[in-house]
Amino acid sequence: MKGFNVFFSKEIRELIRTKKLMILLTVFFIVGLMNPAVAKLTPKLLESIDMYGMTVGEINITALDSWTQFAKNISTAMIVFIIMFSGIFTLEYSRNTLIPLLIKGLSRRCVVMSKTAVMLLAWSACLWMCFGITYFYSGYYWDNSVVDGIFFAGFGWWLFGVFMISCIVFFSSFAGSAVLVLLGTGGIYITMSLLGLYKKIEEYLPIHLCDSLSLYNGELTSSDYLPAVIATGIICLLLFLISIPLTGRRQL
Amino acid sequence: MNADFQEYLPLIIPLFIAQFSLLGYTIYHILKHDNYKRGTRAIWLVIVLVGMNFIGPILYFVFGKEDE
Repeated sequence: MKGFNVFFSKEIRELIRTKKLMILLTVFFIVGLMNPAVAKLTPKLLESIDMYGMTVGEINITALDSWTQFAKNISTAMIVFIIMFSGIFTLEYSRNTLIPLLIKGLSRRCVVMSKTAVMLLAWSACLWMCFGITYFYSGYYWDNSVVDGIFFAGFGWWLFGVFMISCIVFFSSFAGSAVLVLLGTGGIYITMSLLGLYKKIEEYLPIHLCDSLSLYNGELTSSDYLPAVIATGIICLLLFLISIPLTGRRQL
Repeated sequence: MNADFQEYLPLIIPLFIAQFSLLGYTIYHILKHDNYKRGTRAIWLVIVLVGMNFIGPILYFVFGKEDE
């Protein structure tokens, strides 16, 4: 446990000193701010089309538009997050910076656990900050209560991010470089999107959690997401448990 | 127009603060360091100023900043 604490604080310091945390927080801050801003500006944009002779009827902007933007933009922010953290393991392996610590008695399990914990912490902080900003402005300009399941949709995105993080941890346990980790994680995402075309298994896939729009509209309720939530939780745990022995056996 | 503008202020002010503090910090960081992972000082200054809406600074920190 001591090894975990020491390595965990080292990771946090690294995150701050390499400016990664600053960049991530800025990106998620901007995204959180852009969601209501785009929704707010939509009537203005359509008005300017109006000047060119096209007539656009009266449009009513509600908090739903802001949250639709949230569901669209958060995936972009998540890609930035994944790119930033794709090298968290492989960079240390390729630079051999872990070897002195491992010789001194730090167990590899602690390394995997503390790096995962740091990623989870960063992801939770970033996502919920972005969520909070969008929530605040949507409530300020419109009314949040017209949109169903806001918090559950946020939770879905959080869980999907956790799934992506466990993919990074899993691929890092045997892949040689950050690019391979990225390719693996991206490959999983694409495979899931393709599998998702088959409606019967779609509801068990983690990607189902990204479908916030049906939740906002009230087409689906949070209980419809239960299979996906459980399946994602199990897959995350499995990937994580597999990667500990894999990292242990890895040649440094 | 005036009332309209005031309506957008709560959105615009934090956006400006975030944008310009990031831009200022990035330029400061570029000028303070002599070596970069890729590219030269002039290239990075141009990239950061051209893509000043967050994209330039983020590109610099991801691809240009030397690992210490």
